[in-house]
Amino acid sequence: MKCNICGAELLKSDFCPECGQDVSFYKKCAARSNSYYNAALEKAKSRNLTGAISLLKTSLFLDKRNINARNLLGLCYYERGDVVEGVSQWIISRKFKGENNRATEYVEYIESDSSEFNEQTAMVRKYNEVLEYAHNGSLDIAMIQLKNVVQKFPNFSKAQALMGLFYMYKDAYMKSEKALNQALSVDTGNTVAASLLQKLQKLKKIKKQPKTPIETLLAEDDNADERAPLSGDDVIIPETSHKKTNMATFSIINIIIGIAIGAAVIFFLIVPAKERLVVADYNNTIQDYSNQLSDANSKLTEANSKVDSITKERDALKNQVNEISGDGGVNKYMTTLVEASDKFISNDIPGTVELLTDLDSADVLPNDAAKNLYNTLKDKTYAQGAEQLLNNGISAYNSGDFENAARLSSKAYKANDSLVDAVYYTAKSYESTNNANKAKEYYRIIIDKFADSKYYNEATAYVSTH
Amino acid sequence: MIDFEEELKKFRPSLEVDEAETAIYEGDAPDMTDLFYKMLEDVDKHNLINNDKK
Repeated sequence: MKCNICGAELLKSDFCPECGQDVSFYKKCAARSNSYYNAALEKAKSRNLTGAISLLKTSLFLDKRNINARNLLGLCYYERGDVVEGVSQWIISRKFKGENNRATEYVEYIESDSSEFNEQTAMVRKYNEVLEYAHNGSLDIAMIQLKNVVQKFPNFSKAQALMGLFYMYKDAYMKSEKALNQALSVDTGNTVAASLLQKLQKLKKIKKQPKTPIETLLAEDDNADERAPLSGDDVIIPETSHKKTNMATFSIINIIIGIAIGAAVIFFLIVPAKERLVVADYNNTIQDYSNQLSDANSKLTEANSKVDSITKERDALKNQVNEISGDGGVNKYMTTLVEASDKFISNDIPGTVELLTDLDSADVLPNDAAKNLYNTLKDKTYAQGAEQLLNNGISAYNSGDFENAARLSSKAYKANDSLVDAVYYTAKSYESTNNANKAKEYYRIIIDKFADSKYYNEATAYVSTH
Repeated sequence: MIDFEEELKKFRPSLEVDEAETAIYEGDAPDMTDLFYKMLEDVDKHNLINNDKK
């Protein structure tokens, strides 16, 4: 213990060894101050911060240099949210004793990390604003701001108690109880919070009394109003476990009903729509294929017609080629003319006439040289050769060679159409070969052109009988 | 029913930072010993004045 006048270390004596001052009274005050400090410490340990603060104030009134009491006072203030008061006490403590003082550590800690302290002091400022709002009747604004304060600074016991008061005023008893309990958990000696909690319990008992149906309905309306301004720090507490079970059951039933409705919607609406889309798509595909098939058929028909026309052109050209280069046609006529010329050179007049009569006229020959040759040979051989062919034909007839007889006689008539004998033997030869039509053809020539000949009656008789 | 206004009066503004200086000054207020010595001084002064008058 040090002298309160000069700061010298005191002894058992009631006088200071340095300044000689009577310190007996000071010693008694310091001892009493320490007793209050001890009592306050017990209170603080049981979290009765308000009670501890009251005792510590008395302790410091008795001895303002009681460092332990002052440091504990600062700690109690700081813990319940009165941060400025707490830090102030530590600063005073540091002034009295700069070394080996826990208050110095506290202040240095706050100075090293001032962000938390700044936020706490900002919340304190807001709390004071809330009080002003509440006094002015702006309770809604006050509540919104106070919610923010208690959310960011939950140890602010006074703010929690005020929150409890606001909720109680709004008949939100559960929330009020929660806020008040939070205030008391920080400081069990918060007399305001304790008082409000007692009143709250009484109000709850009154509310629990049986009501008329109309009052119940009104109460439900009040609760509905209460539930309206829900915010982030609201807690919804189920009333009983029985209701919780029911809610779970209803939730499951609702989920099952929802699934059933979803399945029905899919089955009755979505699936048919999908089917319609598929069918429409299928029909479109079939239509496309039909169009393509029609196009292909028309192209095939066109191609077939082209093939037919080309085939016809080919056949026509082939015929032309055959006529030119084959055994028939012009080539054949030229060959016959060449053979007839060869016969004529060999002095075979009947042979020459026989070949030339195969050519109906000079027109079938392709050029003037051939035509001239044909006409020259005809002039030189037909007069003589026709009769010689007729004789050869009669000889053949007489020898029974009727086919040769018919061919030679008919050629003789072709070379010289005045030879009635040629006509007659031709008809007789055909008659002998039972070719009645050809026989009648030649007999009619006799009837038409040679009516005064000796063969007329025979020809008439044959034609009339056949 | 709770009287809100009455309950509200129980709530006091909390100390803010700009008021810390005052709090510190008040925290350094005289204690019991200071007052005692102050009283003694006053008594001594009173006695001196009375003696001078005599």
